[in-house]
Amino acid sequence: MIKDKLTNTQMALQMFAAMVGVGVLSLPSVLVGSAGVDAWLVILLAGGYAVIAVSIMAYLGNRFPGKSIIQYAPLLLGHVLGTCVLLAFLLYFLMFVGTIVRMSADVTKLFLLDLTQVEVIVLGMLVTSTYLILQGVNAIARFNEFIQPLALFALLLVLTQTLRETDFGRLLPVLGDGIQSVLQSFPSVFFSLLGFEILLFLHPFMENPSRGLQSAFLAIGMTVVLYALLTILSIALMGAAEVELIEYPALAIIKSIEVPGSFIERLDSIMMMVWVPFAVTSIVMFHYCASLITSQLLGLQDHRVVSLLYVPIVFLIAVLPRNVLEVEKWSQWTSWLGVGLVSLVPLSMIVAYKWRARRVSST
Amino acid sequence: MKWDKELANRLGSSSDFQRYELGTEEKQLLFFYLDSLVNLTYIQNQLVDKLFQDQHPYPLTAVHTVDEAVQAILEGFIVIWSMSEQTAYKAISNGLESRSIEESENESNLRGPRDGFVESLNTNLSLIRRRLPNADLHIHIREIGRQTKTKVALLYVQGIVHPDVLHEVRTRLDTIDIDQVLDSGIVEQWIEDSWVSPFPQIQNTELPNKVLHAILEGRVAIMVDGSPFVLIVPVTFSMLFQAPDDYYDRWLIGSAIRIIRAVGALVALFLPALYIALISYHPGMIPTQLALSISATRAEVPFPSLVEAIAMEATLEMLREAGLRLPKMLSQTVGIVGGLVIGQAAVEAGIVSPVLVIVVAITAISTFLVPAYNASIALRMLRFPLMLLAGSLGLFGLILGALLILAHLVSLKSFGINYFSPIVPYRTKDWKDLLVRAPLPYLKERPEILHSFNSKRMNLQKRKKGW
Amino acid sequence: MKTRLLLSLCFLLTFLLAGCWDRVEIQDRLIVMAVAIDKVRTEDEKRNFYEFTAQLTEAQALSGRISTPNISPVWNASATGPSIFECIRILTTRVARQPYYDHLQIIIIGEELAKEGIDRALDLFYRDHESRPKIKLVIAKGRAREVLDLDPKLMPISGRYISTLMEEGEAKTARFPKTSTIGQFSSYFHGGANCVLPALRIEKQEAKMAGGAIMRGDRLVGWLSDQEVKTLRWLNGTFTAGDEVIVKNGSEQERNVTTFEVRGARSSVKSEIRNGIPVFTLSIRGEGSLAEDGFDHKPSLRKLKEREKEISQNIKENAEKLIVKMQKKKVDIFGLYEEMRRHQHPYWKQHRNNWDEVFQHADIHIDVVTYIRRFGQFK
Repeated sequence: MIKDKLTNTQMALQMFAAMVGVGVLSLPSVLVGSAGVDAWLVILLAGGYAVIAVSIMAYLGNRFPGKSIIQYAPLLLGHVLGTCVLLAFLLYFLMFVGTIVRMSADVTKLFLLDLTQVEVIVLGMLVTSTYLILQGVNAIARFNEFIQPLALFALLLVLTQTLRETDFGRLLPVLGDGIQSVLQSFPSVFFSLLGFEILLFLHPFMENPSRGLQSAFLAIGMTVVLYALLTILSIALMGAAEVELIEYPALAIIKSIEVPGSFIERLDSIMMMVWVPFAVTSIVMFHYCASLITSQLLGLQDHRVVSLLYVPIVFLIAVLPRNVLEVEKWSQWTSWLGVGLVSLVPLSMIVAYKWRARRVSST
Repeated sequence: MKWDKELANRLGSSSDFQRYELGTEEKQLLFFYLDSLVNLTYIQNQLVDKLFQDQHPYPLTAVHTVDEAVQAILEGFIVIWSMSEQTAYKAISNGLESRSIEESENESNLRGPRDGFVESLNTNLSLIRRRLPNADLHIHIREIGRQTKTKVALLYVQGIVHPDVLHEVRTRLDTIDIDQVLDSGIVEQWIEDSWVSPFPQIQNTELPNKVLHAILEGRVAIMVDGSPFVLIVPVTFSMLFQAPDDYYDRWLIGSAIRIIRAVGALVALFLPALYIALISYHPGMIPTQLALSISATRAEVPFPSLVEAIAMEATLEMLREAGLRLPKMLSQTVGIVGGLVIGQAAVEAGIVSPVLVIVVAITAISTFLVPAYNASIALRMLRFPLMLLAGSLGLFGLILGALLILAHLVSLKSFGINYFSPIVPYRTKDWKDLLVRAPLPYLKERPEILHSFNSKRMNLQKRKKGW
Repeated sequence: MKTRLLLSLCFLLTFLLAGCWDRVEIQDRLIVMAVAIDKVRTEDEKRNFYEFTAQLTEAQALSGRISTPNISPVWNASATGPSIFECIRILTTRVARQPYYDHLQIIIIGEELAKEGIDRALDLFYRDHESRPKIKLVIAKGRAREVLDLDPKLMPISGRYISTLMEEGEAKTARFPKTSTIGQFSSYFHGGANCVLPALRIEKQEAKMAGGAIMRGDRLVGWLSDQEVKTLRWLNGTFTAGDEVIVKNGSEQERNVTTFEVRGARSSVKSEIRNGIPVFTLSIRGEGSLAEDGFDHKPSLRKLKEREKEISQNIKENAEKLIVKMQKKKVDIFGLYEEMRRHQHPYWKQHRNNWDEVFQHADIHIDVVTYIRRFGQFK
């Protein structure tokens, strides 16, 4: 029968789904806090770094056709170290899912369901994401292919409504505090771009693996543009000092739009419609990769049982933090773990690969 | 006379079984038939006369075994035993009464041929054959049903259909082992991909043109004797929102109607849930003036909007079902009683708010926009869980519900074809015939999703750009 | 398959069992249209600082559905307390239904409170999810509560009346400052700039828009007349629509008035540092048509140019007056602080903390050009 494989577009949108998550709402605030009006420059810079990292990953993936990092990590790094790396990835993914779920539940609670227990909201999101995960990677890809462009389109459409009140002069001066402050805030931004590492795991599912890098570039490009756009718009609308104080600038700018005369006058509902899918698909991607690692390490045929088993764990991670600041702390740990894994693991594997290749050619 | 006894044994217990002896010494014939199935005048006037003429002009098929003979009698043939030759023949008895071809009531269309399928397989096949005099149209008939031995015909166009699809349909039909196949619905339920899903994964139609359109795109049609509903596989979600009119009317009209249908489907699915979410959870999202007036009209309503909406929507479904089974004249009365009287009275009694009545009415109309009845009922049924979700978690619940439905839709398959294609995975070539029906010259290729051979279906070279 | 079904069923059930915490039917909410915040007058009671008045609206009475005269469509309920949130909750002890702030249109702040700073009073409105950045913010001359107690002639709800009044006023005349929402105020205030908020004066059955309230940070330090607000909007380049400047000219026998209907204005600022003192050049460019009686029924190109010059001169004089006034007060309401941040970043960094002094001595030049494009259907 006609085989299901991930197309290039699907791969790009999968990665986009993984990268764009809860960050959309709070990113401008975090960025402006560290880099001032030059925040958007930092995003571009981080995008550049992500491009380098993802190139290494794609290079590795192309060296081992039909295999994902789960198979070639033990080959390259040795059985013990390889498994350790994979377990670190597993931990990172699970933590990531937990914190994303919790953060999105917090936002939902704040804007839509003030009195509903956070557990219920978390459960709602997990049910949806788990149902999708059980359908397999191709269904996830199709889901992303449908929902991401739609959500993106709706978001951009809503954002155009803000243009009337923007003052792009607020973005001045460019590099007024010098390049150092931009560079210094670089690490804190890089978190928000995490997610492209799923390429390591999904590469073998592609119809045309040699073009994985292209998809990755597309995904990173889209994410960077979206983030930069949001940051620029928030600054242009409210000024850097105000953006820094607002917890969720993206929502704040949309809350300030009113479309008189329409049935739904306020557009924050549309923003929620955009944002909940963003959060859910992020969860799906990481949760899926986590269950993929486990099932393949254990030599299982199917990821479903494992992914069901992870639901309670993720749920626990999500509900354990006691308040918003604690959630932030957890997410920071997770992000550091992620940054470490993303920067170090592919690099060390490339070194191992080269070394091995030289040894093979010399003998 | 082993045959005589054997036949009497097997069929004699039925009173409509008849056995007659006719003829002279040298030419004696025994007739066996079921008089419920044969046309007696025809036998007397035509068959018997001809049989007793000297020459043997009548083409009779020989029957070799008793089993065959029994089967032939049961199917309405008349079995003739010739004493002189000691062999049996079966002859057509022209007796099966069938409905004449009429306009289809369930699928009426404004533009395009009106004739609809009937219960007789042969008539139905002739409707197709007549329109497609092409040797590549293959028809394979098999019998399904332990008891009913229903004839099931498989129709496809060789050279267009993808062999994998055909093979898949054949394998699935081979697995059917069931007592009775009284309608194509039974076949549909046996071979469909997922019985959990509320969405129909096989299309049924009464219109020959729809079948032709499908098989010429590279799909397979399944006809069941005794059922005017012909099945079409594989099916995609978008097909359920298309009607033959779209192709026969000019493209702007066709496209406009399709867009209206899509909007209607969304409204039918989400509007009541959205109403609940906005009224009970997020009144901040409606304009202030509207919020005030809704609040004023709801002041006397004692129920939460969830209860109110579910009650009204359930009433609507009941009315619809009641109207469906009643004679036409009565069903209009039911419509008036339901629509006007109950709605008006409920508002005046302060049980529901007038806004809800508007919402329910709009929903009801929207559901009728979907051409495929089974798809429209799927949307109607899904409305209720969505309303529950919106009633317990507001807009958030509504969004989750929508995402769940979407996740289900993209995971469905129909005979190996993605149910949600060509929307996802992107088959941009097929988007010309999706929400918008592009002008005819742009539809020169068959749908890409079916991977049909010979994908060109028109040649534009002779057609000048401007006449 | 079965497990999947069962699981999803269980989850769905928990939803249904658990749901509905946030469900409040629309008719059970009392929509708050306007809020007035005053300082409590009596000083002896230390704990009570704010007097918070919410204008609650009864939708049913508004729509005229009930005929009982003792239910009035609006109720201005007041409470006093040390924080706004406490006031809101104290109100709940007296109002039988749940006040709902998502449709809040306007916040009115009393003069006395404004003099002491309004940031703390607004904190809840920045923070709370039910409020929006689009809520209008005005300073009342006198007590804010009295504004809500107005009984306007044509509209039943005074909060809505004032809100509409402001929208119309901003669009049709430039007698109201452009910064009029809490979002904008917050942007200015947290960005370290000063701004001018709309001011209201209460009369018998109406409220009157009366120029602007000068805010240094979040404190009220003085008032601008409506003519001064117009000048300010020329300087800001926000003099966008349908307002007029009146130019008086002619001999003593006949009063000759030329009315200019403004259709658009733009202003740009150029800054430089000369001898350690910032020098600004504000160029204003106005455009519009002649609304009344300018050419004695004999239009000519020469007269047109003359009028343009007169108008420009008039604007320039007013602007200079306003700038001198503000420099004396040491309040930069012209956005020059922000201009310095944008274009003279190093200097701004040095002087951001003593900007008021620097502003006092800043050199500001004004340059006005106006164009009369057309003069209607009558010569």
